[in-house]
Amino acid sequence: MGYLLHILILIGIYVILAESLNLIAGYAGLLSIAHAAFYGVGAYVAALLALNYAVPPWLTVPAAMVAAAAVGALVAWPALRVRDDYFVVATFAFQVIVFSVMNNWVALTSGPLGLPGIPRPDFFGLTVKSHGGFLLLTWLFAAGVVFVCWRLARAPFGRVLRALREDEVFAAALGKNVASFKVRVFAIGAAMAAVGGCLYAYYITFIDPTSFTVTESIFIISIVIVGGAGSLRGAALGAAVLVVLPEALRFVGLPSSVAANLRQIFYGLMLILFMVFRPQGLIGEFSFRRR
Amino acid sequence: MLRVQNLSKSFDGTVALDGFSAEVREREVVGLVGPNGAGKTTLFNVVTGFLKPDAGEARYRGEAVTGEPPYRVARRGVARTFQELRLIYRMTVLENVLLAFPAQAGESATGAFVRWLEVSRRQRRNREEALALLAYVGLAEKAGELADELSFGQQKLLSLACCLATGGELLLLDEPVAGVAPGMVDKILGLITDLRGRGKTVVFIEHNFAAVTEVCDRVIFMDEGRKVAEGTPADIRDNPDVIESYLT
Repeated sequence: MGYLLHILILIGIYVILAESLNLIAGYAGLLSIAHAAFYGVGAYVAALLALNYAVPPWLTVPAAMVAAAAVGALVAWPALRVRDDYFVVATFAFQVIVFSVMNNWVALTSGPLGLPGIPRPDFFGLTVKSHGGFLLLTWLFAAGVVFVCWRLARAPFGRVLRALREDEVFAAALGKNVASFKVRVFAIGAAMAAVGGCLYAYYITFIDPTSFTVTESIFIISIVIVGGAGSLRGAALGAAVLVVLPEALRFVGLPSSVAANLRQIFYGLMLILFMVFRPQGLIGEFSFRRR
Repeated sequence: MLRVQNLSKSFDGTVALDGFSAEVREREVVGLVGPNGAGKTTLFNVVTGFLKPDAGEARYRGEAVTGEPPYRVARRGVARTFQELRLIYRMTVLENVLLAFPAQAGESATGAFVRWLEVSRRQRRNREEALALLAYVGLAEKAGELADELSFGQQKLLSLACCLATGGELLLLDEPVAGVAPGMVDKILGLITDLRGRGKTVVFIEHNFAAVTEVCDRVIFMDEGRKVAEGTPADIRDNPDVIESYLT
């Protein structure tokens, strides 16, 4: 039972990460592999505030969101100057920088040792401890994130994002401030990824830099691509599929050391197969393959 | 309304604009003609902020627009179409027009959550206006189709509707009738003539001299980045420099 709840909690966290990245990559077409960096910034800000200053979660979460939004706006900056492949490389570099900071700024983050003993979140006297409690908490936040993404995608704001992924020049000719939209979508997406980071930190009670690596970023973008870029349901479905399917590997009797490696191969294979045979994802409307 | 002075622009040694000056008055329909590589599209790109000139300046309603980013020039009221026909092809015809409306409350990220009454009222009004514009250009029945599914001529009409939706008063149209069926040419030219009655000023690039003669008040003939001649369509047609330019 605990195992099942654990999987459901993970799905909730990855729904948050995938939906927020979907806004950036799926709607605006900015293929970013820096999402684990925002996720990590959120986790570290919440953990450090809770550990060092006993700040309650209703303050750590907004603080983490603001910090990640600022970092997100910073990543968008190269997006204003470079496009397509170069942009992907720029976000990749950024991801590496954030990881290095987490890993090497030992005075702040304890480096590779990580931050253990993150206190259980306490909402006005109500402490969330059980799996059930975390499941409720995670899915509540996930529902909030999905709602925000849904409103944004349907609003004229979302229409401009979809225009950007197809033709920035046309959007600019119609008077849209392309740079401002890119910065805003990155800030919003990063802030929501930070929510996922906070939940992860509170749930596991321990974070270290290895949870926020490039591999994690690639995993999140895989969810978006497999589920369907530019589709809210696609990102949620992708999160469920990519979290659950590798778990099946546990039950075919492979030793855990083999299963862990197989999981990476499985993700890679899945990504390649989808890119080649179904670039629009399970239920998406848009593919990263050029027209 | 638009005054450009001494505009120069070259690309890797190729001169596209060479001290070009011209003026466009309110409610005029001006044809910009000349051989390929004469600098016509470069002129549009410089005026709309997509290219920075090496020298000279453009003024729209008395204010300098050279050096401003394209979106600012567009917001001042200069709308344009592109020779290679830019649209959002995977959006519906209606959505393309809706995209073009300026200063939409719902385009701010917070607009999707707060002031939703104002936002939805605005969206409803934009929708009505967009449908009216589509009816005006004759695409009313196509509103729900993807822009990709339209014929080339219909796509040109749609790009015109998008220009109108921006509320721009100076329309720079890059080859609005090139490559479309004859029946469609008449329709587009009819619209251009009608736009003047709606208070718009039009400058358009065209190779088809018959089309230019039909709707233009004035024609500017360009070659090698310079203004070779300027006058009524009849003047230009009979101008010896123009004849020479086209023949050689």
